[in-house]
Amino acid sequence: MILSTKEVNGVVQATILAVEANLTNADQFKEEMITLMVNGAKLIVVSFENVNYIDSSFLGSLVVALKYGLPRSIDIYLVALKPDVHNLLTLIRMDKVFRIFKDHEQAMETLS
Amino acid sequence: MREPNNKFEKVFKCSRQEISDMLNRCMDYVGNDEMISGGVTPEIRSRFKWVVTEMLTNAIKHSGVDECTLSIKNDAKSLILEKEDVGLPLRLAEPDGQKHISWPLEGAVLPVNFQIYQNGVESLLLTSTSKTNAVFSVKEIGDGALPPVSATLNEHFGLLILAKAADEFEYEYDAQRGINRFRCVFNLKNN
Repeated sequence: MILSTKEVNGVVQATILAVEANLTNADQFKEEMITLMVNGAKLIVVSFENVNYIDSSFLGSLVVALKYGLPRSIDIYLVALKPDVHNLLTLIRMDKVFRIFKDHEQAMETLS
Repeated sequence: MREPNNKFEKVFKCSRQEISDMLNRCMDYVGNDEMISGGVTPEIRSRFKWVVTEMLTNAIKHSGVDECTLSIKNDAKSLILEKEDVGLPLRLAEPDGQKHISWPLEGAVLPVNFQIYQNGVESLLLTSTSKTNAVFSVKEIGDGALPPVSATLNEHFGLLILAKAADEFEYEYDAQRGINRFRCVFNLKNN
């Protein structure tokens, strides 16, 4: 398992457990995200609080998950990005593709 | 073992489990003020880390060989990361997957200009002025607004990261020796 999950008010809060989000765990991440969607999640808020760095493989899995959810009206939010991770998303403009929040609480506030 | 000044050269075994160790070795090198006079700014360190990671990832995913050589060189003006392998030459597809290009560019009319990726606001371009080289660059396109997310959104970011994080990114194929050489240059503005 690369994700620790819990459901809060119908929202799946997922936390990436790995410190390094890269080629070694990108496929597993993608599979777990899609499984969450298949099992009925309509919004997944993914926390990067443990992640020190991310690579293109993992970012690719994130986008594949987003594209899987798109026609099914399932959204993915990102929270708790460390500066290096956030800066890489900004570099490739994925900060404009995903909604990004400081933490789970801030993401949940936007839903109320 | 201590590295000689201004030179780092390591063999990377193309395995997922080796990424972290090699990345740490590279970052230790550029973080050592004795190796790079004046040190490297945190901003360049971040970009360098992204580039090393993508170089290693590409070696595992695309080279088709068990190992490659990673080297770091520097002087007062620049920091250079090179990856060499004797694996498969570079082969790229246009975003629609209809057109491919591979090295050496036999029969191509030079210069070759090729779009690898575009997301509506920027385009990743490749230019080859000889049969054996390729220079990558990113050009702004459109009105600056990213189009809505759609099924066509590209999820392959490796080359884009390399081209944007480094100040220069190029590829060279040594046809006589069968060597692929990827080179990223970082300008050491504050050093």
